[in-house]
Amino acid sequence: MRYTALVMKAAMRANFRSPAVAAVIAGVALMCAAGLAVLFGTLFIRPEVARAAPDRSVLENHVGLVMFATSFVCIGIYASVFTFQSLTREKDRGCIQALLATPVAPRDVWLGKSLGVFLPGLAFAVVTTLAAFLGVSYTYLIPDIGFIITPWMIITSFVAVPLVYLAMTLVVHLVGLTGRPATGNVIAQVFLPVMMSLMINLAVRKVPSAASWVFTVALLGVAAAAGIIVLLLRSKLTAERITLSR
Amino acid sequence: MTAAIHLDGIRKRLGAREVLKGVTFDVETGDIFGYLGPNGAGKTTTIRILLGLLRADSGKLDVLGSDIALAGTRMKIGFVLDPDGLYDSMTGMENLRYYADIYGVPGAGAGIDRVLGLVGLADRAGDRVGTYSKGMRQRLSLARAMVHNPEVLILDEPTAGVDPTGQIEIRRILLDIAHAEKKTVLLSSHNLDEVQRICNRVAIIDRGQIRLYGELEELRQTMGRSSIVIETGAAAADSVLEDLRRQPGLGFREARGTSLLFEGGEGAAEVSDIIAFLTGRGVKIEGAGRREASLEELYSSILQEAEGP
Repeated sequence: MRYTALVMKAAMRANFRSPAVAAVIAGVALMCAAGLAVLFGTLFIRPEVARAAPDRSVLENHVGLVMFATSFVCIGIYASVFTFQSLTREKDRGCIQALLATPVAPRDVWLGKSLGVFLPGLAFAVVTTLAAFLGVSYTYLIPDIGFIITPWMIITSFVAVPLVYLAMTLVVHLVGLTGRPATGNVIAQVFLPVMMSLMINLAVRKVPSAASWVFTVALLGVAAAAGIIVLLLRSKLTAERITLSR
Repeated sequence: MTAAIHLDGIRKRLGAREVLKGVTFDVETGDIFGYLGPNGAGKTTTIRILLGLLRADSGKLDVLGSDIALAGTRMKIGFVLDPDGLYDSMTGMENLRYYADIYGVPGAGAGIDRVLGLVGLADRAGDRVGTYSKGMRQRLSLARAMVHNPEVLILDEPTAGVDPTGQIEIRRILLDIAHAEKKTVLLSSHNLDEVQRICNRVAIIDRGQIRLYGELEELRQTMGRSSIVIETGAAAADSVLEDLRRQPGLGFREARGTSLLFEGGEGAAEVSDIIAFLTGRGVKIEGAGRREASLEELYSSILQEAEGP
């Protein structure tokens, strides 16, 4: 655990030292999140609030979608860009090979680097999701309706989505460390829009609602599937495979 | 003397190619051991196996009497790899502190200051490594290798890509480390001059096999071809060279500019006989002497032998 923590701290420090990249990531993620909030707010939430008897379940679904999408976009963009950047750079420059020549085990490098990307992404996603929730609430819901929030919306945005991305970050790092970082990047780049648009499409059709337990469980299922992939691939994580991969 | 590094019959296949074919050698405690070979000979693969980055398919390997797979063994090894594995976005000091933390160096600050002083980077320690020259990066790599005060240093091409002044500086640092700090050093290099200057023992690897191994001086004496060198005022005429070739007893080897080289080992002609032969053909002699075989000559002859006729 000590080595994992050291690798994680170094990964965070290295990522925060790329202010231009961090600014671009934050900018893109915030634009996406704001766009989604405005889109759902204008197209779905405002008309529903304007009705004589607003349907609370519709509002829950759309506020839940805003929270889910914001959390997913923020953590997803942060994780995929920094994973690719750090893996490519550190493999090219021999940083990972050098670490493996010390008492640090391949598992420590993998976990440390994954957490080094995941945890700041999680913090960024939590703050942005809370901001999106408050923004939508104060713009469209308060004072007429009040806050619209359910436990499943909270669990989806702050537990299920992070778990999906924790598992995906582990998969992408595993693939990137033992193979080509570009392959891991392709997985991350495809997963983000496909998964997000799939979940949004399902929720807009209310099969299931973004505020329901089914939505949460579906995401936890995706996290579990990615977790199983991690378990299956874990045996490939050897110093030799990492050293010989490009 | 005990072997700090012991390799016995190490074999390694990478894909279809057998990269190491039974590599065997010992690096004794206190040695500065030169590990030489052309590109693709198997040097880096050997070093990666020694550092636990690759696993040997067969054979026996231990460092300081222990298995390299053990974390405790790795604590006793410092290394320089190519590429260097330094973090460009961190300062020199931060790079060293990171590795000091990994090795669990108590009171790392003093140790870091010591190695920075040793490699002459104390005044640039606060700068980002991305701003360092190649020579400075290599010196920082050496400092990193030393930060936990290891017993063994394994260095892969520590002067590669460094300008001549930087190479001299790194060689000086290496000698300081090896002698003053009493470290065992395994140095992989293409640079024969460098190895000749600082190493006491060498191994030459070619196509996965050790072709030559032992004390450098001993090898020079037993395997090297010492030469008699005759300095002439001007390049010898072709007719003189033809005459020399017709006299096998003189052991004429080759002409290099105004120098004529003759076999100088056991059973070679007397210098006086050679001089008499040359002056008899009107060649002006400016000097004569014996020269021991250089590592370069040894290296070339070993590799030529391995190529076969």
